[in-house]
Amino acid sequence: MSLEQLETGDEVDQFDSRFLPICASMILSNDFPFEFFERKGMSNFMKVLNPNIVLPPKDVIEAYVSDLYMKEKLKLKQELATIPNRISLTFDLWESNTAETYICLTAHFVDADWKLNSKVLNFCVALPTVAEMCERMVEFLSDWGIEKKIFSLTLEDSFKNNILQEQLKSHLALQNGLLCDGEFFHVHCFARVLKLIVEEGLKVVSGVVSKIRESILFVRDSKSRRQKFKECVKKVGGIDSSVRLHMDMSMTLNSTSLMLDSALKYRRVFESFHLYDGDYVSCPSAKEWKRVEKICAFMLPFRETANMINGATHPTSNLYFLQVWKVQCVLVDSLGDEDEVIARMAKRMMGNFKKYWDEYSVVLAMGAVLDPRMKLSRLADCYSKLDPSTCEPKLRKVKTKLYMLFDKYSGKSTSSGTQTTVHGQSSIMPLQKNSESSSHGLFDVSSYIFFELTILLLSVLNLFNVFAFFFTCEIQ
Amino acid sequence: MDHQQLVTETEKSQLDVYLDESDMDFLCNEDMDVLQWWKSNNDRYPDLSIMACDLLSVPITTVASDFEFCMGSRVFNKYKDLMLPMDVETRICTRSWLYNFVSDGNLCKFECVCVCLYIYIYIYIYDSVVLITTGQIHC
Repeated sequence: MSLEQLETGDEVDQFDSRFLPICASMILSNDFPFEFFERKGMSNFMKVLNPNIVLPPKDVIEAYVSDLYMKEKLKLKQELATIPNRISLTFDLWESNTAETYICLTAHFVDADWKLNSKVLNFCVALPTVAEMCERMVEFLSDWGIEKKIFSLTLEDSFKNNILQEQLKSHLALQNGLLCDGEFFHVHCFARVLKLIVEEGLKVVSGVVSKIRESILFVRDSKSRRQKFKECVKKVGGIDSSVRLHMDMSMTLNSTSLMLDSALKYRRVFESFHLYDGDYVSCPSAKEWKRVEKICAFMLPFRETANMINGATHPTSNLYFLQVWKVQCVLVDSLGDEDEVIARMAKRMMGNFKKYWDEYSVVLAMGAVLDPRMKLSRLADCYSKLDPSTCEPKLRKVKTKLYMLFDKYSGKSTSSGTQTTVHGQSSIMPLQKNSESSSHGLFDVSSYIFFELTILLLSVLNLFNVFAFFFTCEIQ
Repeated sequence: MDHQQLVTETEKSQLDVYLDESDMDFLCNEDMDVLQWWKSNNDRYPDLSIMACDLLSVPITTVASDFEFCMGSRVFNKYKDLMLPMDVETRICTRSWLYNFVSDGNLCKFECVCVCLYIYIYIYIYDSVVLITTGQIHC
C-alpha cells in the first residue's frame, strides 16, 4: 500500500510504518546509534536495494523506543508484582566519559515459567555519595513496587558499598520487607574477590611469571626473531603451532593464566631458542618450567569459575557452590605442595579466600541443598573432603539456617498456599502469553517475514547489478 | 498420593520430606535444570519451591554477562551521542528487557548480512574505508 503511495508520489516523505519496529529493534539489539539509518552509507545502500525507500527519521525512532520503554516497564512491573517469589538485586557503578557516575540496578528472579531472569531495572546518574545512592535505591524500589519483595543484594566489596548496603538493609527492615531481619541480604561480588585472590597468589610467583612475559616479548620483538622462533618450532617438532602465544593484560582475570598456558605449550621451543640465540637470557630454568606447569594446573578451577561468571547466562546458585568448592579444594591440596613457592602462594590465597568465604558460603550451600541432586548428603561429602573435623558443625549451621528460613516461608502456607495454586494454574497462563507476545509483539511477525524476504530478494537481484557495475568499472 | 501423605503427616514439614527423600544421581542428571525440577514438584512442595526460587536466583557477581569482564568502575563511551542520561536509561533498560543483551539469532543474521553488504558495497563503489567504524556486528 505504501509502495503505491510512494509511486504515485502523494506522500513522498511518508515512511512505511512497518519499517519502524524493525529499525528500532535493529538499533536496540545491536546497540547502533539512533541516526544509523540516516548515515550516508546506509541510506545509499538502501537506495541501491530500493530507490523509493523512505526510512523513518531519527527522532521518530527515538520516540518509538521511548514509547516501547514505557510499555515494557509497565509489563515488567506487573510481572514483578505477580510472581510469588522474591527478587535478588545486583548493584554496580559505571562511569561515563563525562566522568558522571551511573548506578546500575539489576533484578534477578524466577519468572512464571520458572526460568531465571536478569533485567536491568534502572541505569541512571547519581552523585557518588552513599546518602544519595541509598536514597535513589529506595526511590527505585518503591517505584517498582518491590521494596517488600527483596531477597538479597549483591555488590562489590568496598567501604562505601558496605555502608550503602547497611543503610538500605535497615531501611528495608524497618518496613518489614526482609526475611530473618536481613540475615541473607548482603552478598559480596565473588568476581571481585576472585580477582583479588588470584592477584595475591601471582605476587608470590611474580619472578617466573615475568620471565615468561619477557620471553614472549623477546620473541615477538622483531621480525627476524619471530622467524628464528618459527624455525625452532619446526626443528623441535610435535608442537601444536595453532596455539598462539598470549600476552597478559592486567584488566582481565584469566589473561596471566592463559599466557602461562600458551608459553608452556612452547616450552621446548623456548629452551632450544635459548641455545640458538645468546641474547635471550630470560628463559626459565627446568625447575621454573615445572613451577609454571603447577601454576597452570592450580589456576584451572579459577579459570573455570571466571568463565562461568563471565558466561552468557547467569547460572543458578547451586552451581556456584560446587565451583567455589573446587577452588577451595585446589587451595587446600596445594597448601602442602612440595614446591615451597607454590605452597606459599596457596597459603596467601587461602587467607583471602577464607575472609570472604566464611562469611557467606551458607547462602550458596543452602542453594546447593535445594538442588535435588546434592541435598545434605553430598554437601557433607564436599565439606568432609575439605576438612572432616569441621564438617559436622558446618552442616549443622546450614541445616539450622535452612529451617530458620523455611519457617518464614511455611508461615505463609495457609494464606499464600492458595495464592500459589492460583498462581500455578491461572495466572501463569496469561503471563506466559504475555511473555510470548512480548518477544514478537515488538514487530508484527508476518510483516517482518515479508519484509525480510523482500529485502533478501531485492538484495540478491541488486547484487547482480552491483557486481556487474563493479566488474565493468574494473574492466574500464 | 504424595500430597495426601503430606496432609496426613502434618508434623513433617515440606523441608523434612524433601530432605528425607533419596538424592537423584548427580552424574546421570548432570545437565538438569534445577528450576524445572522445582516447577514439576511445585504441587508437592508449594512453599519450599518458592524458597528454592529465591535461594537459587541469588547472583554472586555484579558483572552483567554482555559487558566486559573488567573490574572496578567501567567506562562506557558508546553513548556519546546520547546527551541526556534519561536516554541512556531508556536504551539500556529496553535492550535488557527485550533482548537480554543478546540479539535474536534470526534477526541478527539478517542484520549481519545487511551490514556486511553495506560495508562491502560502500568500500568498493565509493572507495571509502571510514564507514567500517560505524557499526559493530554482534553475532
